[in-house]
Amino acid sequence: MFYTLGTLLGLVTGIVHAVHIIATQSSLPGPNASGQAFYRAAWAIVLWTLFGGYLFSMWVIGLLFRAVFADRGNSADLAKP
Amino acid sequence: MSGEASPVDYTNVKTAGIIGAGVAGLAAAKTLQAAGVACTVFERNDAIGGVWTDGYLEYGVQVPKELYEFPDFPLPEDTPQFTPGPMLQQYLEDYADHFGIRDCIRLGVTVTNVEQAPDGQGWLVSTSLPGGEAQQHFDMVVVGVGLYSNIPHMPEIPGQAEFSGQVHHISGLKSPDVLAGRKVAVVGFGKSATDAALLARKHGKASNIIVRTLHWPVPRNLAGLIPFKWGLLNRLTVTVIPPYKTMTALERQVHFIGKPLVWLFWRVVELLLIVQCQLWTRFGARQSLIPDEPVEIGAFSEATMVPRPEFYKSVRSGEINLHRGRIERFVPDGVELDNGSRIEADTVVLATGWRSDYGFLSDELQDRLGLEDDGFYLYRQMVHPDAPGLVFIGYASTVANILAYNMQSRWLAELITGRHHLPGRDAQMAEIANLREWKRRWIPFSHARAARLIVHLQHYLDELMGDIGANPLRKTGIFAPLAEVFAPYEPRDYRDIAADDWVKREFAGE
Ligand SMILES: Cc1cc2nc3c(=O)[nH]c(=O)nc-3n(C[C@H](O)[C@H](O)[C@H](O)COP(=O)(O)OP(=O)(O)OC[C@H]3O[C@@H](n4cnc5c(N)ncnc54)[C@H](O)[C@@H]3O)c2cc1C
Repeated sequence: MFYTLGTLLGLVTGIVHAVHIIATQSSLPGPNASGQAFYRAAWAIVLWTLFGGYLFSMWVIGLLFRAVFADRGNSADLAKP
Repeated sequence: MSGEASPVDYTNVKTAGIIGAGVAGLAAAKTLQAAGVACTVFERNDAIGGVWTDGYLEYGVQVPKELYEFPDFPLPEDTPQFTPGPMLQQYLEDYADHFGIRDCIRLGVTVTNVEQAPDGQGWLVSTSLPGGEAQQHFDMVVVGVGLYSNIPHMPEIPGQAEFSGQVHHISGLKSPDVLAGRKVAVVGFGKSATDAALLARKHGKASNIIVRTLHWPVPRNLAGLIPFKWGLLNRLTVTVIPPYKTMTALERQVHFIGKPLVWLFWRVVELLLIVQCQLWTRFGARQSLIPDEPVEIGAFSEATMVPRPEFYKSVRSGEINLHRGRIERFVPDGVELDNGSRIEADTVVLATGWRSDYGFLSDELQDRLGLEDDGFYLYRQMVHPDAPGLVFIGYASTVANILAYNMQSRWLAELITGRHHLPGRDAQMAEIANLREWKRRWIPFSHARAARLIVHLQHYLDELMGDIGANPLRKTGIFAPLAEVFAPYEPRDYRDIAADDWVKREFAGE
């Protein structure tokens, strides 16, 4: 159930990522850029769906552990504007 | 490119004076010469190669050979996995011959001064050579003097006169005789310090290493199995390091949501390193070797290193004695640390790094370039709008410098051939300010912090590719999308860019 939820979330993320790839990579230099972008977008959906369950589980574990060992590491907090 | 047009026209550049014949100077000379620029390379040593000319005993490249070769000039097939220094030196000699740049290199010539020509057109380079002094005019000057080789950094430690033994900088460690039968104390904890401690273990009577700040090691093979490039140099890892410069609102959201995952990833990496290199505390005299800084920050500090695999084993077995602390002073028979402990030694090796020498740039010019304690902040790590025509190649510290310097040279050649243009002064200054603010926010201080990119090399290369109009995604083949995410980027991925074949290939059919 938990894993399936992750897979579904992965699928959704994959679709969003795919749209982003098509939007940003279709005009890259080189021959057949938009074909390449669609191909990469398809892979993004496959990969996110395949690993979604696993990543979601890790995300939840990270959330729990981070609450306990909050003083260790803050790389994402560096993501200030 | 945004902003008003740049006031400098690099397409007028016909002559270039290049200072230094290390990897950076050689890459610049080869690339610029091929772009039709008449180059003169000034090298104060009697041989080309820079740091590879004559290193300390058993010195060599830290990273595997496929990460440290010119993209368009592969290392010989029989090169060992980690290229020894003398072999790399020979490879650089072969590179110079292959691309016909030897004739433009002037060995044994030191550049003493660089100043803008009085009419503002180009630069005057003053040199000193055994026969006297000379001055020459160039349209452009390329500074390729390196971050590491110039001046040994020798910290001032009180009491040296009382010390009855010998003190060497690591650069002077050229023969086992220096260590034979001696009780050695090595100061520092970078790659060269760990090498020196291992040499002292092999040739000396006792090997001590004095460590002020611990650093995370990068093992040659992660978990003893996977070459580290697979864990460190792919686009997947690049997404979980502290983000590159300013993020868009969307990127900020993604990073916010991904925080727990990223945090867990790095803690698992730390755990793996702790287990693999046995960094944990043992009871008794042994100490914890776990650094204070989280690994994702520590990886950007001055002493990122890939130690030889036997280093940590030797520390654990007691063959190398590791002492935490700072040297307070020399005593007649050794050194005393700030925690009061004394280490008996008759040879002290200072593996405390090197400092660059920019003395040939006048104070006024250094001010214009905005030199501060942590270095020069430059547009694309190369140019400053207030010193047009003065270009730094090699002012970037990464995991694969040879690749970075080649791509910098290509970027410069493209600027000269007019395939891309610099943005206006304001845009360049804004970018420089952004870079400075970003680095100072989180990269640990060092005198070359401005040059540090380490694994952000990938982002930097993408930026350079974007500027020159090349595709930053360079993996090819049916599995390219997978390779883009998981496979390491290596110099060979940029072969056609370095060889200047890319325009033909990427715009074929257009
Ligand atoms: C032991 C060791 C291992 C390393 N391992 C790696 C690694 O694995 N990966 C990596 O990316 N990097 C590694 N490096 C870093 C290495 O220094 C760079 O990769 C690269 O070789 C630097 O090249 P450079 O041309 O910028 O500078 P340098 O090699 O320092 O060359 C600069 C040249 O400029 C000359 N010069 C300076 N001032 C003047 C002047 N005023 N007039 C005339 N000539 C002048 C110097 O004599 C020198 O020859 C390592 C360095 C060392 C010492």
